Amino acid sequence: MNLEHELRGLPIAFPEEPDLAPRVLARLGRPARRWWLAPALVALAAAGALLAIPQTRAAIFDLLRIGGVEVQRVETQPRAPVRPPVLGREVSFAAAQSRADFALLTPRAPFTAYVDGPMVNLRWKRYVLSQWRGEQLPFVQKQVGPGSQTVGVEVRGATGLWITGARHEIVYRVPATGEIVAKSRRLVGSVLIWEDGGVTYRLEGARTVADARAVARNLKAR
Amino acid sequence: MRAHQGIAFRTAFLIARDPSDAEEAAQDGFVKAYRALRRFRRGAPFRPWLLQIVANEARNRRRSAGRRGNLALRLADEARPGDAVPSPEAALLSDERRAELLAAVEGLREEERLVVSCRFFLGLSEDETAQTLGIKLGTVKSRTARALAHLRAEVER
Repeated sequence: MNLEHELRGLPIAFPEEPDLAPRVLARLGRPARRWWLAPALVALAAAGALLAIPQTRAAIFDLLRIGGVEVQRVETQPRAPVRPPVLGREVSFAAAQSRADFALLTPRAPFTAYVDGPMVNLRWKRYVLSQWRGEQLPFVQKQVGPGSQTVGVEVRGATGLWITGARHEIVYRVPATGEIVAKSRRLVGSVLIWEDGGVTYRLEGARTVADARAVARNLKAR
Repeated sequence: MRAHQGIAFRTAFLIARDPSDAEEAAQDGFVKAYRALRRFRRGAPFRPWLLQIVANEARNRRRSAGRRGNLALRLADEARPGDAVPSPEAALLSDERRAELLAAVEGLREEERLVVSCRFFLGLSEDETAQTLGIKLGTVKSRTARALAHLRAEVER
């Protein structure tokens, strides 16, 4: 038998792989200075073509993936038209819940429910909570421009990301068609993202990380 | 990043031979790679560039710790029923033969052992191995050939 094949087949016991992302993020979590052209990612090339990102200036680095969200630093943000927030179709909570195969988290305050593809959006006060099963959206990219901060934080016992300071763009791939869609900037400002049990949550509208974490902590499944 | 963290950690572990050193080396490697993006040659493959930085970090740690291979590689426990079907290569090898082969790899000179580890345990290409270890492609080829000859002599005696 070929020795090279035997070597390849050796089941080496590596120690359990640590999750490096939170600590790397924490160390990088400060205002971006200058981001140069980074490795071309296939998804990015596709997104770039669609969004007409000036390729020579768009510096993108695959930083982190939390659940269905992929955060990337960009030097130049895609110029997508700014439209009013798109939250989807307004539905009853029961209808929203019937679309999801997990128990939706809800705030104590009265809210309005919307569905937008696989994403369920709840709006109350100045907050919007989006929740979706990660596999339903293969990825959502948040493109974070210069001057923004990305910090790893604990949210409801999970690792989350607090992105603040700059406008961000949400880009995602439609599962059925593979088409890459740029969402308009929904709420400008900070956002908290976390994942729990395969479900990705995104909370927009909080002014501080403490506020965001408090709101997240008080969410309950009905 | 998560696409690369597994291979980065395993590369660091094969060099540093200590899980916490490997974790630190991989972490520092990511941070340095991120900050050094401007030096990254456009169009070049990203993975070996990252692994080279991680490997350097791992080597520095090992050097400063003054250790030499204090943690031997082990074979994973036998697959239990219900686990994924082992690869045909794995299925054909007896436990004894595997242990013997791994011991022979561990007995190689470090420069040969690292090339063998990168090529066969991490599945890196010859080019990637060269860049990761900071050696020439020809050196990868010659060390691989030498290592395989040594291993053959060892296990086929």
